[in-house]
Amino acid sequence: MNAEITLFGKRISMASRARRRALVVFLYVTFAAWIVGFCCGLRYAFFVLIFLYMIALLLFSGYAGTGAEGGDEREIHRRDHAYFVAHKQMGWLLVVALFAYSVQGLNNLFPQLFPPAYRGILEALPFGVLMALITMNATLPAAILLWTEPDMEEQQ
Amino acid sequence: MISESSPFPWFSTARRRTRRIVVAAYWIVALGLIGVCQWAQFFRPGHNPVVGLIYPLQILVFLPAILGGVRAGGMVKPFSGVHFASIYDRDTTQTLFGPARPLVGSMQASDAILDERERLQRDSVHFISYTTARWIAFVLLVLQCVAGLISPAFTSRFGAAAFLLLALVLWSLPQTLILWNEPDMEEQQ
Repeated sequence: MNAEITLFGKRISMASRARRRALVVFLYVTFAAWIVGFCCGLRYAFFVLIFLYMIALLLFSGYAGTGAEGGDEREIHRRDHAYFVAHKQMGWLLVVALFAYSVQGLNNLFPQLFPPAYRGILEALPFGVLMALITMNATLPAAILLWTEPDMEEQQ
Repeated sequence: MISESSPFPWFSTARRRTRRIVVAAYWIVALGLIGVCQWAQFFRPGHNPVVGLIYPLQILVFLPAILGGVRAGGMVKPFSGVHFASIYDRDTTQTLFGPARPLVGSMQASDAILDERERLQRDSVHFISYTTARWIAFVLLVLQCVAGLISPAFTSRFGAAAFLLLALVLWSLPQTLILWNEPDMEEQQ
């Protein structure tokens, strides 16, 4: 894990765990805002939110890497353990995806169960869960690492 | 990492060759069941809750239990250990009040805790499995997009089977890698 990130030529220290956690929170908050905006049918705010989310995703990917970079033995063990933790969460998220997919079937079977105002949200739910799945799949192990690694020494 | 208890009382899974046959049979059955799910979804389009949820959940509940890992009683030790001592030494009687028992097979005390080597092996296979699932998800997404370009109606017909395939890969691939690669164990006398 790098101790700093270069953004538009400016060096930003990421040695502090609080900053790394702020990056993780920024990524997932922008993602949640985008999905909520999509499900609620926002129009103009939707484009702003998706733009913010893309910036957060690029920033996060640029800093955290892909996970295939390797490192010393300790780093590899910590990486593998983060993948183990993420793996379990992804398994459950896929069950939620299956559930979201079938909610539309429930909607067809029991049309009186869901008021018309909520039908749009139910229709958009599978897409939202699919996007969550893709985002989590790409970012969750790195997010766990960034969240749990202790403070690093500042580079001189 | 291989459990000393076996879900199959009529043969031992100590030999690698036997384990590989079981794993191959597992994946043939699993892919066959996903094929049935896809077939039902393709020829009965629409969002069917039986095909979309109930049938896949049945597959996910029962199939990975055979390989173990996700819960006690399978061929691989539980990945997260077991924290309830009372589920050791399962007998044939289910007590009415008390903690749940494993669904398949019985559990040994040695299965409850993973040693250092086993924990490293567990984490390592999960890394491989996760990165493999990532590529499978990418391929499925591309296929979904291609199907959508051919006909928008196709996209709604691949959802359940694609999610089920991914879930089964995530829930079964680590155990598969362990069972496939671990050398022969000594047979219990």
